[in-house]
Order: sequence, then structure tokens, then C-alpha cells
Amino acid sequence: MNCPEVKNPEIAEQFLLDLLDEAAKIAYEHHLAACQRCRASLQEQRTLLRGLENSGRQLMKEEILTQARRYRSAPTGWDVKVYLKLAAALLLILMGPALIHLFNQSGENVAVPIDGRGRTALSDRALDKEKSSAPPSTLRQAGLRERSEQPETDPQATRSEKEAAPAPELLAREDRFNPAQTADEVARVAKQAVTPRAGDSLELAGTANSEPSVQSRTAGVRISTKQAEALLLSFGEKSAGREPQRFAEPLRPMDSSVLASDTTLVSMLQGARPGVRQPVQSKAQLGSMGLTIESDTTGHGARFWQFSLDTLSVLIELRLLRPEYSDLNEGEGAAIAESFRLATLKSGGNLLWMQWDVPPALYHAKPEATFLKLTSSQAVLFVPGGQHYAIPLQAGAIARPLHPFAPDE
Amino acid sequence: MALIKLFPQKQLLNRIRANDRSVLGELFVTHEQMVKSYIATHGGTAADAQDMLQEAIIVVWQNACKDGFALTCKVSTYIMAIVKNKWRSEKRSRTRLSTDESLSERPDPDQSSLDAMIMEEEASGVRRALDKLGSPCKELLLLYYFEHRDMKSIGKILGFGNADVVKSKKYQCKQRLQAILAQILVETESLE
Repeated sequence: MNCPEVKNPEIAEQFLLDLLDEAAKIAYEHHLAACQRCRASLQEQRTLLRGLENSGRQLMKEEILTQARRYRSAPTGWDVKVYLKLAAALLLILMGPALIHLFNQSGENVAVPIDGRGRTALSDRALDKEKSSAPPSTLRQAGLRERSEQPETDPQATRSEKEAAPAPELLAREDRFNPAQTADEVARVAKQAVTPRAGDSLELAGTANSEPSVQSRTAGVRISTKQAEALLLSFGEKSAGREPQRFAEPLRPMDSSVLASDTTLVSMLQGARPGVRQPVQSKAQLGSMGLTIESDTTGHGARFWQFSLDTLSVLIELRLLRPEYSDLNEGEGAAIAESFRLATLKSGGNLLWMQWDVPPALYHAKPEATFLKLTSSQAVLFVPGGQHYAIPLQAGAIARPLHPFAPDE
Repeated sequence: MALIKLFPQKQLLNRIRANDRSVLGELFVTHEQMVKSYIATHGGTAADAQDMLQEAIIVVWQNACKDGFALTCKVSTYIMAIVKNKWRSEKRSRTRLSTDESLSERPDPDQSSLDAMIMEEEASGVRRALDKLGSPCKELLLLYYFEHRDMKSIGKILGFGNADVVKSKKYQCKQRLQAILAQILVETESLE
């Protein structure tokens, strides 16, 4: 028989790899029907090619693992882009204080440390600025009032008291936000929430001593990162390709040694990758994806959470339920998408600690206090405004405010 | 964090075409977590995730070696799409298998597992033959038959003069492989 293999020894392989043109393919198929030897040869070739394909696959899988091990263990080497990014980050860190100073001077609402009297550096500066720009008559009146209210004592002491006096605009704010009223609320909620054990007498007389700082501008929320490892996922959409691909990645707590409670660094990280912010997902949407978050631990009206994962930072936004918008939702209040600056993100123990800058006007949005932690010896209370109180559950004990940044675990 | 790098598509394809094998490890490490999360949330194990990612990387590699292939999306998107498809198909085949096993009466032996055994034996025989064949024939045959590279790029990778040299070398190597394989099969049969 006139086998085509005589002319083309690789015809079987070409047939199997679909490299023959249509006419040659049909002719070879016709020949195969009649030629036993060529069928055997074709089968042999098929076995060989299949074996090569499978061996290649096995070998490549092994190689992938070997290369991955090598890649993990190898030093990263000189990568210009990485070093440029590091240099940029270092420059930002070094310039951070100067930038904050400039930002403060521009009158923006930034996170600034709060002193013992609840005054901020910003408010002091604002006061100085206002004083210097006020008309002489106003200054005179203010001066007269200050003089008339102060007893004639040591000039040094007078100056220090003057410095300690709250700024006029802060006094006005204090009028709207009554600390005594808040303390009453704290006591009221505390009495409702804490059930004393038999034999214990609960006395919260001390709450009046620890009036919340009016100028405290953060709202604190905590999320257990133990849960985060198991449950919290960041959801978003990657819009590469034709259709956006929904993806889920585990939320990783940030490295506390990197972040500490340095607001500058957090702000910088936030600003570093603004593009990674993902579309807001409602709680119901998140729930349908298997996400459960302790979103209401503040009692502060936090209804929606948004998590975004970046290789550098976790960006989190807080949305508040604002009764001011009640006309939008039949008196129920409306969740309007409002972003608040994440002032602190800190990982301590098994807690992920997050704090936002929330305008003081929102403190009245839902004036409720909530217990975050209740142990046999003390309760930790959260009140709107971001202040935390440790309330010992012994008779006659005095409640003390906790530093809002310090995890109390 | 330094492990997580962005792969500009073109650069990645060029590296694969230049046979930069370290890409295999980089792709694996970069996408490991993402694939693990996906497989874990869709009823798979860590081993399944590893297998799916390896398969996806192989597909990326084989496609990148083809002429005219271009990525129109991010590599991660492409890999995830492959993983999702492969995992869906894997789950379907597992469900089918478990349904078959649950049937009390099975008149025929399980054809698919028989095929798998035969294929495994073939692969094992060919692999032993390839190991015996040695370098550079082993690399040449795998580059051609598994990675589907063209003669020109194989010549470049293995340092042959031109495509014709590669072609004749490939023919010789394949003949040798067939001879070794035949010998191995005879040895195996005599042992049995």
C-alpha cells in the first residue's frame, strides 16, 4: 500500500496537532480507514503526544511550586519602582508635620490632640486669629469682660487662667452641648444597661466629675479581628477587562508597629491610594455575601460600613444616620453617604481600633450611650463624642474617662 | 508586601515569551491568597486552590507562548476567570462522580477512572523516557509539544541557529524518545 507516511514521516503528528490542510486531512482519513499499520502508528503518536502533554503539565506544576519557594525566600533585589515608592513615602513622613501645620493654618478640621481641658491646639489658634482680626470695640468689650470677671491676683496666675479660658466660639458650642445633660444621659443609660449582681450596690456619682470633652471630635468603634480573620471580607469590584469582576479578599489587620496611633501616617496612607476606594455596599448587600459586622456597637448610628483592601492600608469609611434628613425617609432618618476622616486605625491585642473625626454637630444625632464591655469589676461606656468611661461597679467608685486611643483590653 | 507586585501585562507576556521561569513563582505567590479565598468560599480546600492556581498559570503560560495572544485585562482578572471556570467544571465532575458512585447497580466499570489510570500510566512512561532522554532534547520536546512554542522561539531559547535546525533536532529527539519509550514499555511488560 502507498502509505503517506513514506512521503511525510510526521503526517500522523500533523494530523493530531491539526496542522494539515483540509484536503490532506480528508485524504489521510480515507487512507486510515484502509491501512491497519497507519492506524497503529497514529495510535502510537497519540499516546506519545498525550504522554508529553501530561508529563509537561506535571513537570510545570512542580516547577511552579519550586519557583514560588524560591521567590518567597529570595531577596527582593533592586527594583527601581519599589525604591522610588519607598523614597516618596519617606519624604511624606518627613514632611508630614509641616503639612499638618499648613493644613491646620488653613482652618481645616483635622485631627489634633486634645488637652486635658478638652481644648485643641486648633481652637487656641482660631481664638488668637479671631482676636487679632476682631474690631477694636469687640476686643475692648472682651477685655473688659475678662477684666471684670477676674479677681485682682498675681499677674502670672491671671495670664495662665486667661490661657485656660475656653474660646468664645467654644463657649457658644458648650451652650448647645450641655455636659451636665450628657452626664445625666450617661448615668441614665448606665442604670438601664448595667444589672448589678446580688449584693452589689451601684453608685455612679462619679460620672459628674468626668464630663465629656465637648471638643472631642472622634467617634470610636471596635471590631474584633478574630472575627475579621474568619468572617470579614472586603468586597469590591475590579473593573479591569470587559466586565467588572467581583472579588473578595480577607481583611487583614494593619501592623500596629507601623501604624501605632500616628494620625499623620494614617492620613498619608489614606491619601496615598485614593483610587482604591470601592463603591459603598449596603449592610443588606454585605449580609447577602456572608459578611457580618458588629456595626452597631457604638449606638452612634453607624449603619453602613465599607471596607477596602489595599496592599498598604485598609481604608474604612463611616456612614451616619442623620435625623436631619428625616424628611427624606418618612421621619426615620436617612443614611446619607458621608465620609469621615479615619483618625486612627490601630491593632491592639485582638482588636482593630478605628476612630473617625466626626463633626461635633453630629453628636446630637443620636444621643445614646452604649456599653462596649461589661466585666465583673467595671463597665466601659461609650458616649457620643468619642469619649469612653471606665465605670467601676463598686459602691462609691468614681468613673474615669479613658483615653480614646488607648485600647482598654 | 514587597511580594505583591503589579504585573504590567505586556512585560509579563514578554517575560514568558523569553522563557523567564521565575514568572511561574511570582504569579503563584501573587495570586495565591486571592484564589485560596475564592476556593474556600466555594467549597474547596487549600489543596484544591493550589491545584486550580497551578492549572490557571499553565493556561496563562501556554497562551502567552502563542503568536498573537494579547491580554486585554489585568493578569489577576484573567487568572481568576480561569480559576472560576476550572473550579466550576471540577465541581461538576466531582458531583457527577459522586452521583455515579451512589448508584447501586453499575453494569459497566467506571470508564473515566479507567481512562485516567491509562493516561497516568502513559504519562509516567513518557516522563521516565523524557528523564532518560536528557537535555536539551527533553526541553525541546516540552517547549514544542507542551508549551506550543514555535520553532523560532525554541531556537532562541535553546541557542540553535535557526528554525530548520530546531525542526530536524526535534524530529531526531522524538525518534529517540519513541525508542526509549518502547524499551520502557517492554521492560514494564516483562516485569508484570
